[in-house]
Amino acid sequence: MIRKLDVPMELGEGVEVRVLAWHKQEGDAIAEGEALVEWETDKAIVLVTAKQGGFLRKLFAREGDWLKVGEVSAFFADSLDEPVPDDRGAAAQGLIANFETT
Amino acid sequence: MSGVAFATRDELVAQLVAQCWPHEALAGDVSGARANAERTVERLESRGVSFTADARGTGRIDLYAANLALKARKGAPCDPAWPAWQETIRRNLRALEQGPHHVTFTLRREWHLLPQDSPRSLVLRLPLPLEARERPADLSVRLLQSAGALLSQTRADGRVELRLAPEAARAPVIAEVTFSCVAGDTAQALDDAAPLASVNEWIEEPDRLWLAEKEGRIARSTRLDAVAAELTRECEAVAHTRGSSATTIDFARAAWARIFARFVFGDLHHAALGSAAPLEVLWDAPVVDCTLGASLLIALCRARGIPARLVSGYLLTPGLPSRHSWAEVLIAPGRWAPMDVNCWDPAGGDLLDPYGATFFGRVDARLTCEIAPRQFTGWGSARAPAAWVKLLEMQEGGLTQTIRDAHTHAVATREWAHVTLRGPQR
Repeated sequence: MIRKLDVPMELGEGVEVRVLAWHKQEGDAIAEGEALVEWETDKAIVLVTAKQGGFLRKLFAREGDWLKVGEVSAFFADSLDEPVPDDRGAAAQGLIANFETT
Repeated sequence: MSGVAFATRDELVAQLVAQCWPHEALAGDVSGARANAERTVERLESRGVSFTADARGTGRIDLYAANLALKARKGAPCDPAWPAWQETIRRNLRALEQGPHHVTFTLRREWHLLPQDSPRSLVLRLPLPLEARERPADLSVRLLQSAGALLSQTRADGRVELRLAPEAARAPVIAEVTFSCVAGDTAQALDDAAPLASVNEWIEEPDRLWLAEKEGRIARSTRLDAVAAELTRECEAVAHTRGSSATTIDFARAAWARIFARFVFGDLHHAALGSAAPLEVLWDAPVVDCTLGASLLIALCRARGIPARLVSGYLLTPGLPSRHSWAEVLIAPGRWAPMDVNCWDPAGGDLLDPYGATFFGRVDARLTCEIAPRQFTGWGSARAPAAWVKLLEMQEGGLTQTIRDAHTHAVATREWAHVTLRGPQR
């Protein structure tokens, strides 16, 4: 199954985040509890950790890129050979993740 | 939040020295400066701005209310400390008005971090000037105190980032940045501003970022839209009498005049404004600080369709290099004009005073470290208290600014800034 990581509404209306650092790269296996990416705003850093396993298959945002609420930054899949759409707007379930703000 | 008593008597005296008699203190007359401040506190008390005992019996006062009690519009009766405060600001302005200077700037920042939910590396930042404005040279960064190892140090435009091991959260972290640059007066010609009526036609796509209806405190509202419509009518009428069309600078000037007339420039508790429509709440308050005054000017410009943005950095006043925010307004394609309502203080709120428009279209020597919303130093892993207060104190020939939790008095951050003028750029 393909899953997407997008910027959740809970970060606030109108909030944009900047990708500060990816902790995983395309093709990497992801285990539950592992850090995926750090986002930042002027007020805080948001550490995104996976709450389910899989593989990071496609990145749509590089470090330094800005993302709006709802914008997809990556696709994940259960395996490395499952076809992944090129269109970040393609339908997909959300990756179950934890967003820890400091 | 009004009436939050957070400053001790010593802290109030120290801040009054920094605001009103810093040059006396810098010249060596510390006891004279303190005596002036002590007498000011006595006068405040006699006027009912008093100390209340906290749970430990320590007398505390609302420093913001105390400051406000000193200020007055030009011509109105005022405390003797207010003319001294104004003269300090004017003297600082005169010291910097000779054009670009070579400066050396040092900032020592201290972070008091909260325990983390889970161990993770910490990201802490020190400011640098944005390179499109001032190019820092001779950069030196030192980690002076940390309970956790330095994992990496990264320089980017507008900041140095230190990544520290999780143990760093156990105790205050202190780091320092020093650099040299050229900074100085930036005057803008304001006579070629673009027509107001066609503003939507000449804005380039990237500049639409600075038309956002909601950006932190800068939030559009029905009332601000109505004020913007009123200001548009005002400046169109004025332009008509001179036989021309209103321009962006006419609108900005009308908004500037409205802010000058409606507000006193001072400190206020941001938490009292809430987060839903802070400027709507502010409109009924009597006070704006630098950030909120700039935010209001920006919100009014945006409501009229003129891109405007919040800029932050440091005033490069020798002995008093403080953090500051101001606005920039897009008055014509590619032409951003700085505007800083801070000159309310030296002008006593009088637009016709020689200082009334000092920072309309020009600003003095300052570092530009942030242009919201996308260029910022950022709090990183440090966390601002929900309700905070700011205290100033002169130390070691520089200025210390402490951000404390308004209720617990716990220090969140403290920073000491020092600037040396090396002489004019030739």
